[in-house]
Amino acid sequence: MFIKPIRAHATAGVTLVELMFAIPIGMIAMVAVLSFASYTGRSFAALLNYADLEQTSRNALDTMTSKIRGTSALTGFTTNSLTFKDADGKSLAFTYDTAKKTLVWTKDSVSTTLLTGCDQLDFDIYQRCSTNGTFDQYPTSLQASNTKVVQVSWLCSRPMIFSRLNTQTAQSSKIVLRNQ
Amino acid sequence: MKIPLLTRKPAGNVLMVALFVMAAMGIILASYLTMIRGQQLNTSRSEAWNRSLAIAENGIEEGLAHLNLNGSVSNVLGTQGWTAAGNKYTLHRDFSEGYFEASITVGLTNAVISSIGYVPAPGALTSAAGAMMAAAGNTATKYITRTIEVTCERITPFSKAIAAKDSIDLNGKNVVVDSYDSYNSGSSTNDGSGVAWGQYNAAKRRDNGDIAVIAGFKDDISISKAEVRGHAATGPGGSVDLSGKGVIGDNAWCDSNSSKGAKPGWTSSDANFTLPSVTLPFPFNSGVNPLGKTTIGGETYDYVFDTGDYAVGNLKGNVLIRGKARIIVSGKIDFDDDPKKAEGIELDDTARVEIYADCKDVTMTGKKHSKKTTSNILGINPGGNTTNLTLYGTDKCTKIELKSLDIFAGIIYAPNAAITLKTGSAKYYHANFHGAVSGKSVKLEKNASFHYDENIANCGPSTYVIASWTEK
Repeated sequence: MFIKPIRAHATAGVTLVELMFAIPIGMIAMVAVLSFASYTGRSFAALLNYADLEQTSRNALDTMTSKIRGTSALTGFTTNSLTFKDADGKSLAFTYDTAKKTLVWTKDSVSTTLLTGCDQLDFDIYQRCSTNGTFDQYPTSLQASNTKVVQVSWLCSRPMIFSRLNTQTAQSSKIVLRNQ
Repeated sequence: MKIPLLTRKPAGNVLMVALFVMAAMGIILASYLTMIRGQQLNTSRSEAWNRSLAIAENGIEEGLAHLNLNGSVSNVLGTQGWTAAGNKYTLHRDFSEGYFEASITVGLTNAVISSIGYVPAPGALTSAAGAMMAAAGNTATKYITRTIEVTCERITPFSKAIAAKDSIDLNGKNVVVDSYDSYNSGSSTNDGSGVAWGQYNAAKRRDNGDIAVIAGFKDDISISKAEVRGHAATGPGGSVDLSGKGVIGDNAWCDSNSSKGAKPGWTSSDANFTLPSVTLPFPFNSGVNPLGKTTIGGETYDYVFDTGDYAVGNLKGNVLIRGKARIIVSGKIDFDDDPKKAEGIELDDTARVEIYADCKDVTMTGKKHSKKTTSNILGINPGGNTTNLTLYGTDKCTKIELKSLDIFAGIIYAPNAAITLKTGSAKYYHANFHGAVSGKSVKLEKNASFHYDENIANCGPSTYVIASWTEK
């Protein structure tokens, strides 16, 4: 008598009960994995944005402080722009373009973009005297020639992938004109 | 019966999936860490870059302090850790976060301080000869450096004609403030008496008669009818009263706009200076008394001061200064303005006196000087060098009055005193003040003229201040 050997897979099968357990568990696992991947991706994108914003803002602030400290005097002021007489007698300007959302510094007709994605930027100017009991200075009543201290504040953002929310960073700093 | 059994083939699907997932997570983790490290390095480097500027400015501060403490005699700058090499002095100072190397180069009229701040670059401890040598201690640290260079100029406390803490009152008619330079023939005239300095000459006057008040209140400076040939400055929030026919500006403005107010840019409200209290001189070798009644050249003097340090109770009568004298007065300075009594202070041309009023009231009057070519006028040091007579008032001194005189030539510095130049009748007195004055408040009565001697700014105690700042 020849008995046909029984192949293991040929006899394999799942019962309805097994399927009823396996499918939900599999779906839960899939959702967990996808959620984790999505969360990781968004977090990673946000971190990249924050890192980029932080680095750009820091570089912009370092550049501005270095340049403004050495200028001779402030010659022009609006809340969107500052124009200085540099130590070499030439003009040095920082201009915020509200339409392009950029901060640009210009010297010798050469413009360099310091900030992009800049939603808000304000310049304020102060004179040399400190107010009583605080570390603040007197505002100069918008008079550039009396300016000793310049304050710059900005808010920058980057769009997030898979999200309408932006990542944002804010900076504010007071810079002293050393030659005033 | 023989039943053959099939062996199951080993399956690696789960292992492969696990490896793939782990690899993906590893890549993500590595990316995270790389990004975080990059950001940390960027932040640390920026902080180190900014810190190096603070350390470099530390060197500037120390250089400036050293210059002001020891710079009056250039050969003592090579002390207190500073090393001399010609006219250059260097200092290296370590901090826990880095170090600076500063140098002072002294010129004829100014000094240059240069300072380099060093801060270790983050993550930049490198080996000079590989890891093995590094382990043996042969390492070199890379530094972030920033260099600052400042030019320093000397200034004196008397860089303004009139300076006050609270107020300046020039309300009277015909009050004039202008300037001249007694050591510049272009803006003064030598009287031919043999002295080196020149006298005020209205035809040569200049427009550096600057007046300034520290306080910031309405009408701190009242010049409603005066003529100020110079700048006027108040503290923040202060203002200048120009309600009358007063004028402020340069010579051209004042000559052509005698009643048109201030020239644009010649008034400001950002005055920022201090008038520190006067401390009595130290060391002070008192113990010598002035000569009593002495007749010299036919005139009898109550006191004669030769070179030396004197501490007296009251200063009054007919006083002659013959040498370089420092006088501390603890009781009262009070000269009678009766011309018959001939009270007042007279200085020889080569004499120099510093009077320290460590008392409440000071009243000084003019006297006729028998030994001067200008003997027909009533004055205090008339025709004399303004830097030869300095009246200091300590905080005890609250009132100084100059009256009944034609000319006062000298410097008054009394930051706690109300100072008044009383003119009296214009028929008898001209009330000309030559020099500079600083007080709590300053008032010039009508017909008074104030001529700031610009030469004062070149004399007396000076301090170095930073005139320009450059980052290299």
